[in-house]
Amino acid sequence: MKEQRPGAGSAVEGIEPAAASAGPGKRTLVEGLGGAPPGRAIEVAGMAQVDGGALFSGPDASLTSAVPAEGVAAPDIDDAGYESALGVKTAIDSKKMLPVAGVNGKSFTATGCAGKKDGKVTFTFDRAFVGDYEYPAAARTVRGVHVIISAALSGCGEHTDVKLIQVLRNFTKKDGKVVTADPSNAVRRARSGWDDDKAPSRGWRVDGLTDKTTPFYADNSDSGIHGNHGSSSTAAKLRDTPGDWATDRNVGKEFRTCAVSYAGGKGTVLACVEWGYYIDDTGAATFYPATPVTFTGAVTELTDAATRWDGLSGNTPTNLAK
Amino acid sequence: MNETQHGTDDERLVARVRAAVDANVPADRLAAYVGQGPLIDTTAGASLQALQRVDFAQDPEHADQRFERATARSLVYWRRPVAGNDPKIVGVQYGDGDRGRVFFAIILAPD
Repeated sequence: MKEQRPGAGSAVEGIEPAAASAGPGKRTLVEGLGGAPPGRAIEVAGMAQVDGGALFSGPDASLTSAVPAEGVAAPDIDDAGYESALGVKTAIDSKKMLPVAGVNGKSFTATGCAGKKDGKVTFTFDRAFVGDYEYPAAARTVRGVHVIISAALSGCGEHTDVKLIQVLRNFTKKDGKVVTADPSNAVRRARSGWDDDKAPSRGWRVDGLTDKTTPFYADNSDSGIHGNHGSSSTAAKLRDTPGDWATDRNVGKEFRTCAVSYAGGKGTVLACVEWGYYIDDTGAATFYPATPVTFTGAVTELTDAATRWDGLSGNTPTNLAK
Repeated sequence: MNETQHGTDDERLVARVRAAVDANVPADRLAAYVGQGPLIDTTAGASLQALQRVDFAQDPEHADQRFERATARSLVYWRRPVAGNDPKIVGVQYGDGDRGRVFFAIILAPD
């Protein structure tokens, strides 16, 4: 549709020129609470109040806050803050999202990691809920799942940098069988190899916003809202609340969340866990598969999607060890 | 979609948003200037943190006016009255001390 662009007006209705001042925001979306340039003092006025986010202090233009230098822990968002910020808490409190029996609060372990047959990677679903939550950003209702997954290592040896990489695919069902579905967006299609019928693991893609170029689910530049990296002594964490619009039918998404240990620039996949959701023809949403499944080492969907990701211009490569 | 001699509702909305930026309207006056309530207005309490998880996909019809997450310190946007399962939006984003700039995006269901 062609747009009609009017001429620029010199006067603003009811607004004095002096009021038309600098931009009101003082932190960017990616800076969030923890990613601003080190040592830089930035104002924090004009921001929304966020539970668990003390730096977003409200509309007081006189306030400033020195951002900690790099390497100093920033006040990341916690699980409760995440759930409040996304509206998930309201959905849980009103029982529009319900806990998934047998998954919520349960752990699933992959045995054998990094060459140690008795080592374990335990994926704990600190949260696993299914249902609807309101999505103010689009003024729509999302139907899907809410998970918080922690990946803890035991007996796997020393690992100083464990990152989570998640891959997913859209799917539908035909004659009762799961069939990969079109992700319906150019970037998601490219990451999925959608335009190539012979693409390995076609439909599977590295999970991330379409403007994101790093493959790791958690990102140190976004206040930890997506989770955190881990190590052999600290669990890596992922927070995710995927879904489809509540009006959609016969749609779902499958995920593989993988713990990858980085050393010397190369990533070794320790283990993965499979989970997801499905919304049937009646609109009923269920956890899919009913119980998460763990895998020791890499899964094909991950390595294929990672190879595809690494081949896209501008992306930080996964550098998974072959 | 309503269409009159002055264009469609969408054309009027987009024109009004562009005019607001041309006139350097401050973010907290945008909604009043445009004349309809925005979907999101971070100057009025909308959560920037929640928006970190929102996928503002590039609108192929406005590829040169995409949302720039890395520089957005506040934003105000409206849903455009156009067809499509995924909402199309037009808005204004503000960076660090600069004028607002118009952006277009398509909001995807969350992966």
